[in-house]
Amino acid sequence: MNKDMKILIVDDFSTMRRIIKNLLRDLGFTNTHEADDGTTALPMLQGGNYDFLITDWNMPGMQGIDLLKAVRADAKLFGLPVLMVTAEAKKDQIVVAAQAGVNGYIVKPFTAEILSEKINKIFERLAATA
Amino acid sequence: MADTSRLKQARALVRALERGNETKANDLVRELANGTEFSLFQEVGKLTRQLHDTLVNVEQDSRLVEIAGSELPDARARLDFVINKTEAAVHRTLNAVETLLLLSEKNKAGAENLSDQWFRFTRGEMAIAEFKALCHDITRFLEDVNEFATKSHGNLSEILMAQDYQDLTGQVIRRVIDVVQEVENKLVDLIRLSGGKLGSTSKLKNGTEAEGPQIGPTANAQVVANQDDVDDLLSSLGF
Repeated sequence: MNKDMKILIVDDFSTMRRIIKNLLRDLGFTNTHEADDGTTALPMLQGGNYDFLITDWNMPGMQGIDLLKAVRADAKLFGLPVLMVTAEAKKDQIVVAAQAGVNGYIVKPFTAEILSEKINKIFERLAATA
Repeated sequence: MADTSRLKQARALVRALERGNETKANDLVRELANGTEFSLFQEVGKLTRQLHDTLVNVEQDSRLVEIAGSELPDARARLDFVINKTEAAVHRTLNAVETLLLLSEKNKAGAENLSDQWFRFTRGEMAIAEFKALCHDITRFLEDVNEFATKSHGNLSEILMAQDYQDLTGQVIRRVIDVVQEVENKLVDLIRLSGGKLGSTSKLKNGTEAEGPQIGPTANAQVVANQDDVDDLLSSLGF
């Protein structure tokens, strides 16, 4: 896994963005950027050559699930790995996210180990299918 | 009073009047009026009751107006306070943590560097000039460790103090719960008075609409309990 990969963290709470950013830094990922909802995130993704997207679900403006769908519908972005980190814990929601093409799903509150494990899993699987 | 009996009374009244029996006629008029008066009193009684109820309702309405006009905006402000307070606490904590993480990395690097040199010194592989430099490094490292210990203590205390948000926000949230409880009670009373029935009126929510964190323990089969449940569900979907 490339530790220099460019990561976008999308969450409407700056505190949660900071926590994820710090956890990623601890895992060796320092090339992290932030956006506070889908509306700001999508143009950043389209113009930014990002390698990985970590997004919340429930946000004002464009929600995370819509951002995920927009990414999968975008000719340039459709292959971008997406990890959802959210307090949304209903089974139907997880199924919807899976159907929309999410690569991983973490329910808040979560631990540093879970984040690390899910990220590793996503990139192992991508490497295996590549 | 039945119409037939009133009709009889009316006919008797006519007969009495035709015969010029004034006393009987007056008695009959009074009898007829009595029945009307009785239902009239009943109606007035009902109206009074309704008026009373309406006044009670209006009183409660004015309490609701007070709640809607000042207490709900106040509750909103309180909840905003909770958001701001918790946000400040997290930033305060993270600032302390970030500083400590940087310092501990620096310390670790310093210790590794020194133990490499120290290892060479103990094996007698070090020239005198190099040893002098090592002594200088050790002095600086000890200063760094001391600084780190002082900073650690300060920042850990800072993190400790930042947790005070729980007490403050807890109290504020409790106040908001009280207002919500009162609104609920008033609404239930109003619905009862207006003759409505309380039933299961909760709207069926769209299954995948975002609703934020699940509050409190839940036995809802539609909600996952932890990350393991999420992983099980996803693996059942082929993930």
